[in-house]
Amino acid sequence: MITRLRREIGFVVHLVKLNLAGLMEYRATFLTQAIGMFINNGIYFVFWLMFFDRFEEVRGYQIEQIYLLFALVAGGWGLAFTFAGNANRIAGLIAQGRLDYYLTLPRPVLPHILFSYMNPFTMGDLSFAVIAYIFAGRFDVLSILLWLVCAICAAIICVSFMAVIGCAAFFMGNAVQWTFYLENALITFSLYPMGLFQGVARLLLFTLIPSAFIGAVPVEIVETHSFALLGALAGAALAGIGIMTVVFRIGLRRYESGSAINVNI
Amino acid sequence: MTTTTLAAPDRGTTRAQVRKYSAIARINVQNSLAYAWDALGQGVFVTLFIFVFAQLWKTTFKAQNVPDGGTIAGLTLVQTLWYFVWAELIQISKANVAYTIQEEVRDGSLAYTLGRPYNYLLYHFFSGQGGVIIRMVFILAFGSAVALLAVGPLNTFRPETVPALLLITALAFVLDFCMMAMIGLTAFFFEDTAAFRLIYSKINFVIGGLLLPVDFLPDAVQSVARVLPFNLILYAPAKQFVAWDSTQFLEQIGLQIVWITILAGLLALFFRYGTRRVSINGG
Repeated sequence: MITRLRREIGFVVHLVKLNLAGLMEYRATFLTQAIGMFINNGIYFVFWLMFFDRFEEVRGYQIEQIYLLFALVAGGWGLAFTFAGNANRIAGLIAQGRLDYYLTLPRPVLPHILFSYMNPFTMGDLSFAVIAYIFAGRFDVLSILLWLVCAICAAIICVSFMAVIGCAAFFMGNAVQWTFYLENALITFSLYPMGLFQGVARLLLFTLIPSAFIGAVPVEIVETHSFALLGALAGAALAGIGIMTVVFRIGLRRYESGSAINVNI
Repeated sequence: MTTTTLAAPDRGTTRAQVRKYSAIARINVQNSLAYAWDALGQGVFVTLFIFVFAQLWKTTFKAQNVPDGGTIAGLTLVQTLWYFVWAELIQISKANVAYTIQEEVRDGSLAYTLGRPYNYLLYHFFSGQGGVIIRMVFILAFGSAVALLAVGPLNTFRPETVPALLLITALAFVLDFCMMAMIGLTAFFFEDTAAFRLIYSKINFVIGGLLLPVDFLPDAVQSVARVLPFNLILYAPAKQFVAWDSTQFLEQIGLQIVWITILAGLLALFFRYGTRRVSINGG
């Protein structure tokens, strides 16, 4: 069991190296995209700077919490799609019959799909997360460790969520557009203070669209050093992996191979 | 012996040009109708954003102790939320022409379209606007429903200003097209234009007035934002929708025309320069 797990991890590391080498072949494009995403995040961040400059506080959130929120959301999002860049492309791959390639190879299908693409934009997210964390100014070792662990958990939740909604394509055909809307919902809600949402909306953000686990909960963990909350976040991440695996397996039984000839680079 | 003329007898006249480009727009409206589900999806999408804005601004007005009907920077809570409905209406329904042009430049299909009897840029403008109308209907319906539920009707809306509102909104689409087409044409020099598209959209978010009406910005930023063309795409039409001001309207229309003239000129030059780099091979 442990030998197999080690072998599969080695395989994933190899995929990541290949993806990185692929990006390096088009260095100028890669840099443009990463820098573009960094500036994109920066401009969005300016909105909050101006907002808090005028209104000072929203439901307990001040600009310091927004620094941390961006450090965590950009970090989680960046880690997720830098390494598992296919997570938000699964719907398209299914609709185009492009799973055939993975099904014919002797490796676990889901990890092979997820880690076969690296999104160049998300490098901009990762670097932005580091800068935002420096602005947040929490330089004690425990806070830094919690930030890293929370970002990893948030990344797992992002990947699981995107993979699960991408699997809708197994059941409804082309789900690319709806995946896009739900992806935007996930990121939009995670970048706003959770105190804004009450009742059913709040419940939704802890369940169906788990934005709370990507933004608000990690912020609270890093601020309060709450290990109980960290346990809950880790539990949500594990649950995400479980749900993703089950949904993918059920969906895969409905998959119909395509006749199109595809080239995987 | 009789001969058949395949070309329209008024070919080349302005009337024929109008007919040609309106036919292009009409075809795109029909295409959009075939994908009404996508437009419905955008309606749901706008619901999400208006909902988030409703929560944020209700909380902010309350936190600032603004009484019912009171204002922040001249806008009431009701006006602020309806402002976002109109701004989102433009932002979400506009055509993503930058991506379309980028793909045509990258895969070389631009070379085929250059030889066709239409102006490449005008074709994309009218083709893109065809889909806008259908999307606007869905987005307005969904966005208005959420705003109505959240804050009630917009009592400051003046129905007699609808033609003027449509004009300022139409010019906003033209202005946005000039920017987006220019971004798409950068594909002649860069492999991918996504980074430029992202930055442009975020500039619109912040100093264009999508996330924050320009009146809410700090004074120094406001004075810069009002001169740049970005506020004329989202802020100007949305502000006129919720708080009509004829003097400001005339100023904004004037600025829109000036910016469209400048950007359209630059776009035409940029297009001419870019197409010199196109090499057409047989096969």
